[in-house]
Formats: sequence, structure tokens, C-alpha cells
Amino acid sequence: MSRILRLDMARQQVRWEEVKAEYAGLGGRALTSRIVRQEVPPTCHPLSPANRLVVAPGLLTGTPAANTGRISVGGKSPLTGGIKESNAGGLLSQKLARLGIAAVVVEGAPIEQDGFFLVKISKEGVEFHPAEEYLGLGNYRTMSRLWKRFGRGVGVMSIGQAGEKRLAAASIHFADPHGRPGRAAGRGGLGALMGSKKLKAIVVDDRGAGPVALADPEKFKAAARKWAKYIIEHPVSGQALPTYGTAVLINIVNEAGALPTKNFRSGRFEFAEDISGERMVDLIKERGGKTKEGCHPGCLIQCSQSYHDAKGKYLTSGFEYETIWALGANTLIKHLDDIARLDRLCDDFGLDTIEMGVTLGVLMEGGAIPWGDGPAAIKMVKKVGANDPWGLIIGNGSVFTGQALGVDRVPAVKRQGLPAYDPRAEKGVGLTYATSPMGGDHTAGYGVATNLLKCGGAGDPLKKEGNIELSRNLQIATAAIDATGLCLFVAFPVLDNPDALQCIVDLINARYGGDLTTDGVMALGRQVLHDELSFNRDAGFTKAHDRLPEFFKENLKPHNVTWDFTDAEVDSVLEGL
Amino acid sequence: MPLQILLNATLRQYVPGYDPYQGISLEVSPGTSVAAVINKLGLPPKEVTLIMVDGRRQDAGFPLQGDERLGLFPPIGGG
Repeated sequence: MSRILRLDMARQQVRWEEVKAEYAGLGGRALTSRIVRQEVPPTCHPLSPANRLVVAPGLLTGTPAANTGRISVGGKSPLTGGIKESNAGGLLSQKLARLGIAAVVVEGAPIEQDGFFLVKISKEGVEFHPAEEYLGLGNYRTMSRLWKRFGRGVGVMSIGQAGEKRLAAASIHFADPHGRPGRAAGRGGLGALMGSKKLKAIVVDDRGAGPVALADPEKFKAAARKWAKYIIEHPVSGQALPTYGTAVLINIVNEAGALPTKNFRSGRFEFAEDISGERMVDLIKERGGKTKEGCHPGCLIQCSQSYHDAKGKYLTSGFEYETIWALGANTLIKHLDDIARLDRLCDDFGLDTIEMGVTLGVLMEGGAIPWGDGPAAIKMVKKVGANDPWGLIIGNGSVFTGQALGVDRVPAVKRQGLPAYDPRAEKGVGLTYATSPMGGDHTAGYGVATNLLKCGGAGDPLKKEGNIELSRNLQIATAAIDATGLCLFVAFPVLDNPDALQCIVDLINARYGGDLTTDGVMALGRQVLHDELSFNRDAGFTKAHDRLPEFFKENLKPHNVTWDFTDAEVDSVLEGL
Repeated sequence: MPLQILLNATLRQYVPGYDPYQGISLEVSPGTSVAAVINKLGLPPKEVTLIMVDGRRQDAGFPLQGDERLGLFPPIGGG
């Protein structure tokens, strides 16, 4: 039977709690958003003791089913001021599930002179340790020291300097199977929330915990076998992602005229090939890196990698499409090694790479550094790790930086920097940017899959038709997938294979012994969005917050398209859920 | 202006010496289908699942004028 672990940071005490009725049957994002909705005052300051940091494995996490090891991290976002769920890979989620922990809820805050803590969770119990010796360290050194102290292979979530300073673009990092911090709950500044709790790291050791209980092991085994087959047999999850990583998207999004270039000025980047997945893979092979790595044990997709520098030394991992676009095409930086160095710095300091890329674009817009200047960008990001006011400005993200510099061209919704698809040339994801309770976010309703990549049908990214329904349906389905602990890339086989969703339902039923249906899964997705939208409403969000910046009315080349949805059309996306 | 063809991901292996910075220039007569171009280049048609003509997705039967930018892709995804 799973329990909820509450960490009282003010007294450094632990409380175990049975899962109460309101939280039963929920996991991942469904559970983090429900707990935040129920327990966090929507109008509280996100860095105040009233806010809570919630960490929850998914419904299927810890089982032997493939690609189920994701973690959801929730709270009131220090960046957007709304509810947030940020999703990551790494080792920690499966270990929590094996220890029978449905969620960890971090509450309150220590008084100033108590300093920072780290919390260790194992079968033997939960311990608070002083964390002074790790203060000021980046995630790379923090994780390697914690592995040395607590054993190789323990799960770690930690913050770097940005989280310690409670900067609104700070992320939380999760040790991958190599003990590296390439996996991040990046979006929404949850690293700042963790920093406000004076929590440097959580270490989870599941030794002696045994496997999670399965209500019907035979049925589970049969469904898990089918599930693995669906993932491996789909050409995207089985071939494209393992071969090139997510950066394989650079060329097609560029070709579609939707690759935001120079702070969302055009849809094509002259040097796209230099930052493409194809180029990245050539460099990795030349330099003795690794093109395929999983972000958690049991991953069949293996879209991560080890990227080495020109001397053959490890530089970064989890080098994603979004990261490469944000720090590359968006800033006109075309040298992949410069982009990789920026990614490494972000992982180390604990900064969201999308937010940092958008912020660097705003810095260039304001003339603080030249367009396309990789070394200047590196120097600037390094200031976040140093004692420098510039670091405090950019570490608070794109909107804050735009205000500091008097820049009016800031691509953000609900104060969160927009990701790697121009909403004018991929209108489906544009509607998700506008309406998702998460703020400007692509994963919450990835219209790109259907509109550009022809998965689950074939929409038109340039026309309005069909995109309202597309964004709505994907936002509901994604909220449900995020409750399961499944990697979102299973959406590619799920969108194309009508049997795959039923298979997920079979897995959940065989795990818990319930009688969930596919309709029930969609109802779960709607319920998650209900919790999130109602939290935001009570936090003061209105329809006016569901708008893209004015400058998206400008024509975008090469297709000469604009953001042409009426306000009423945008409002209809999540109406009457 | 001849047709400019850009190959991506695994499709590049079928054209030895393919230069991704230049692409391939090809003279085709108006009305030639994308399928015919795929055939001419020796690409396995089943592997070409995403066809972009001047940045818009089209089917293999799409008739070309002969002066477009043609991007060819195998199944890909990410995000």
C-alpha cells in the first residue's frame, strides 16, 4: 500500500500518511496537481512557506513495463505564479515507487539560521542531514559527491546555484543512470521553490525494497510484452529517436518554416544544418561519445546521448531539440560546441534551458550582447553561478530580463518563455502555448506531432481549421499520460496505434486490480486540467493571460503567416471541459 | 532555377557523397511527381514518409513545377 511522505522543513520532521480518498487512484501529474490544488493557497507567494513542493512517481512507475520511470514535480510556480507540473526522467522515480511512496510533499521552510538540508529516504527511514558542505556547488559536483557518500546508483534530485538563490528560471535536476544531472524538471522555476524550502537535495536508496506489487502479474506481463512491442515497432520511438535524439527535429521544423529564429523573427535558420541532429550524431561518433542513452532504467527509446567536446572529453547529455533551438537558432548561435557548453552550464547551475535560450534572445534584443555571439552568451550565463547582478537578472527568466532592459519583444505566455515552434506556423501548439495552465509550454498539447510529423492523422499547421480540437484533445490526453509515469514519447505509437491506449489501460488495471476504461483515462485527463485551471483562476488568472504577445500579429517568413485566432476562438480551446 | 532537394536523417545514406549544405539540384519537367523524383534518386519509397514542398507537407503524387525546394524525411519525431 502506497503512502504519502511529508517533510516538515520547519522542524525537520517526517510524517507518513495513508493515501486519503481525494488522492486515491492518482499518480504523477494527476496527484501533484490535486495536492497543490487542495493544499496550497492559490494567492500565496510561491517562495513562501505556504507553498508546497510535491514529487510523485506515475501510476505505472516502478513496474517492469517499459518507459514508465518518469517523475512529476509540482507546486505553485515561482515563474508563472500559476500551478506547475514539470516532468523528468532519472533514477529517483522508480525508487520512490518501489519504497511504496506515492508522493513526497515538502512543506514549510526552516528558519534562516538553520541553513540548507538534504533528505535521505531509504527502507530504513528518512533522515535530515545538514547540507552546508554542498552549498554553492553545481549539480555535477553535488551528484558525484552524493553518489560517493551514499553509494553509486542512488536516486538524486538536487538544485544548483540558481535554485539556492531562488531564481525564477531555476530547475530541479535528477541523476541519470550515469549519475549526471542531464535530466531536469526544467520548466516553471521549481528549483527556486526547492531552494525556498532550503532543500539542496533528496537522495533515495531503494536497496532491499523489492518490486512493486502487481494485482495480476500474469496479465501485467502479457500487457507489458505487447507494450514493449508497440514502442519498438513504431518508426519514431523505435528508430528515429534512438538514432538521432530529439534534435532530429531541427531540419524538419526548419523546413516547415516554424523554427523560431532571432527571437521569433523568422521561421527558418540559415545555419540549421550546423545545429541539426544529423550533425550532432556525426560529431558524437567522431569524438567517441555515445549516441544512445536512456534517461531511466527500462527505457527502450534511448533518445539521450553523451556529447563530447573536440578533445573527446564528456561535455553534456540530454542535449535536446528544445535546448539546441533555444540556445541556437533563437540566438543565432550556430556552433554546436558553444550550445553544448551553455547546456552544460544550465544543467550545472540548475537552469531551464528553454527559459535561458529565450532570455539570451531578449538580452540580444536589448543589445546587452551581440546576436550569435556564443562566447558572450557563455560568459553571461556563467554570471548566474557567480556573485553578479547580471546573473540575478537573467536567472529570473525572459520576462524579468525584458523588463530590466526595457525590451518589448519578449516571447512568453504567463511569464514562461515559449518553446521551439513558432505559433504562427504551427498553430496547434500555438493554441497550447496560449491556453495551457502551465504557461507557454509545448509538451502540454503537442500539435506538432500531428501537424508536422503526421502522427495520429495529418493536420495543417498553417491554417486555423482543426487546431482548436487538436490542442484541446492533446491537452486532455497529455494530462492523462503524465499521470502514468510514461515518457511522453510513447504518444507517437499511441497516436498511430489504436491498440496502444487500451494496452496502457490493461497495464494500470493489472497493476491495481481496477476496471479503468479508455474513457476513464480521458476523464482523468480532464480532471487534471480542472484542478489546474481552477487553481489558476483562484490565483488571479483570467482570459487576458491566455494571449500570445502582440508581435505575433507580424508576418512570419517564409509562409507569411500571422497569429490570426480571435480571442473567442482561443477561449474555446478549454471551454466547458 | 532547378529543383533543390534536401535529404534528411537516414535518407542521406542512399545518396553517396550527399552534401547536406548544398542539397541536390535536379532539372525536372513541370508535372513530374515527387514519387518520380524519389525513384530517380534511388530512395526506398516506403522510407520517405514526410514530403515538404516549399515548406508545405504534400503527398508523393504531388506534381512539381520544377523550381521548388523539396525536403524529404523518413518518419521522425521528438519534442
